Amino acid sequence: MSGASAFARAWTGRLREGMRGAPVLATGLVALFVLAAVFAPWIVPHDPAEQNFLASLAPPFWEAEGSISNLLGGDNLGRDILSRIIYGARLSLIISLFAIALAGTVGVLLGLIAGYVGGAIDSLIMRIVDAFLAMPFILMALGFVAALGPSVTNIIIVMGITNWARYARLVRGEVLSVKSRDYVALARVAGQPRWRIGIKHILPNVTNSIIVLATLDLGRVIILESSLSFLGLGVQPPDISWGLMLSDGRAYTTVAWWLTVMPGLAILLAVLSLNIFGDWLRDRLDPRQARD
Amino acid sequence: MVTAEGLVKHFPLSRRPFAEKRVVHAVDDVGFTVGAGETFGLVGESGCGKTTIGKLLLYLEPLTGGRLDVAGHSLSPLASGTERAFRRDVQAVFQDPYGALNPRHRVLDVVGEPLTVQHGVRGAALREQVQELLRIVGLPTRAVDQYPHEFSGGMRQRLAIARAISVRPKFMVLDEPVSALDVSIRAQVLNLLRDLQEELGLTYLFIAHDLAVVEFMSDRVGVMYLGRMVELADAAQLYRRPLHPYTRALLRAAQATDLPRGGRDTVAIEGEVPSPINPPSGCRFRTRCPFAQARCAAEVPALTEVEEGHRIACHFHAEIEAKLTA
Repeated sequence: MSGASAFARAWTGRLREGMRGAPVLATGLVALFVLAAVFAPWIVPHDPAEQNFLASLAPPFWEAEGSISNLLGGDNLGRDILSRIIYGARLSLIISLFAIALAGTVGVLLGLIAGYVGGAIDSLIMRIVDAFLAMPFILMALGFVAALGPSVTNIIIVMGITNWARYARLVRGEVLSVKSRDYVALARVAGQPRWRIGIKHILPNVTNSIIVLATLDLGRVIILESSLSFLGLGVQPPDISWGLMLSDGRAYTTVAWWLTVMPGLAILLAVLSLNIFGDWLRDRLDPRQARD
Repeated sequence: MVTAEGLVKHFPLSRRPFAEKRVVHAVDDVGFTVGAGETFGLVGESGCGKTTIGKLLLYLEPLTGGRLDVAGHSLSPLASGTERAFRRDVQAVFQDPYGALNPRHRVLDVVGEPLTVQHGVRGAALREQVQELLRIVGLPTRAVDQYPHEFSGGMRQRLAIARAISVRPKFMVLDEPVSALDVSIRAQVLNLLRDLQEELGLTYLFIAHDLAVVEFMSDRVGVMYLGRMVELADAAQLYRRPLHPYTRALLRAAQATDLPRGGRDTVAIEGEVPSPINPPSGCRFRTRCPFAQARCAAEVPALTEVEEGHRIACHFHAEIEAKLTA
């Protein structure tokens, strides 16, 4: 899991050097994934659940026996892989976005409180953070899914619960540095109540880091979701996710590589483009770098 | 406007259980008054506690001990429910023009924040008032929609000043307001501050380490060393006739560069300022004072008036004076 995301991050760095247009390309890809997810029912060439035995293990169109009908081939049950990837994008993006929204909200709030209030509350929150960061993700997720049962809502909750700690730690550190700035003291001199200083002065100055972590996390969470689904703990059939497709195709890797490579490529491209997009977004959101 | 008696501020160093309780003696037994409409200058090396005094007067740090009244509010401690009113009367300009303005807020919000908080001014009215403030401090009114990073240090300091005067305070703490600026800009900002003082009837606490700047700005000057006030006098008096050996040394150091003053009666000192965690007993300056004697280690010299309006904390100032002028 983390190997794949480290791989993606390494490539992020190299791409930035090699291609000045990378952010444009990445933004385009992100937009493509989002559009595909939103308009899935209208753009898929086939019903993703439709089983066409003639297309069973059909190769992609550029292979000798491939056909235009199944552009990226068919799986063992003859379902169209392209259609399934498009529907998979839908669930992957929904799960990742909600999971990060949940993890981010909880983490940012607790991190802000810990860093800004300090003292015993800080110590308490940070010990809980340490405890969460010390637990292996899969183990924690296993426990939660076993307790809650696998469903889309529960996967979101599980990924929210298992990921908030990183946000809390990041935000706390940033808050500690921001709160010693003069403008925070001067906001008090202006008579601004403390909770408003937290929201108006401190939070906006830590959003850069939150956005960077959230976009990097989007990629990570997509991989986590895929891992969960791959292990059978995540999305359950008949719902479709990229991880589930990988899992289903695993048995056919030697005879039909496209069953695993296609969803794998989808994961790779989504994670990569989200990372580049996140970098670009951070630069854009900083008023010191925005030029217009 | 300001009455300070026996101010004490200690910062605890370690809050760990069982650890030896150590404190930084940032300010120890400091007293002074600032009259309405005057500028009280505070000088001393970095770490001498002058910025801490500023923070105490702004009620950004609670007092460890002593009595403090600022602009008619007692800060020992401030009565609950009166903080807003206090904040209306007391404002500040800090040293770092880059850290004083929230980089994510437009000038409208930066300069207008006190007005919004204190008087609920918003929208078109706020815009108009902020533009008026910009005009007062000599900035173009179109600056209202720009971000702080678009301005130079001197202009940012003008923004900080506009913000501070927006609520018509009675008293302002100016903590090294020009020391981060180019020399060519300093005079402009200092003149602006003096003009505003005259027009708005402001009282200033002017904190700086630059003696020439303090002389230019201040009516009276206090000299601090390692958390204590060592000399307090009218500006003219202090610069003409410094009596404390530390003040003499400061003036000599400045004179070596730019203050045009003569001086057999000055003092050279060496070494470093001792740690405020474990300050020397008695007179804190004794470890670096060429005239130190046994009594200096045993007894803390009180700040006593030696001539009208001129108070110093030194056991042997008369002897030193005699020796230096002999």
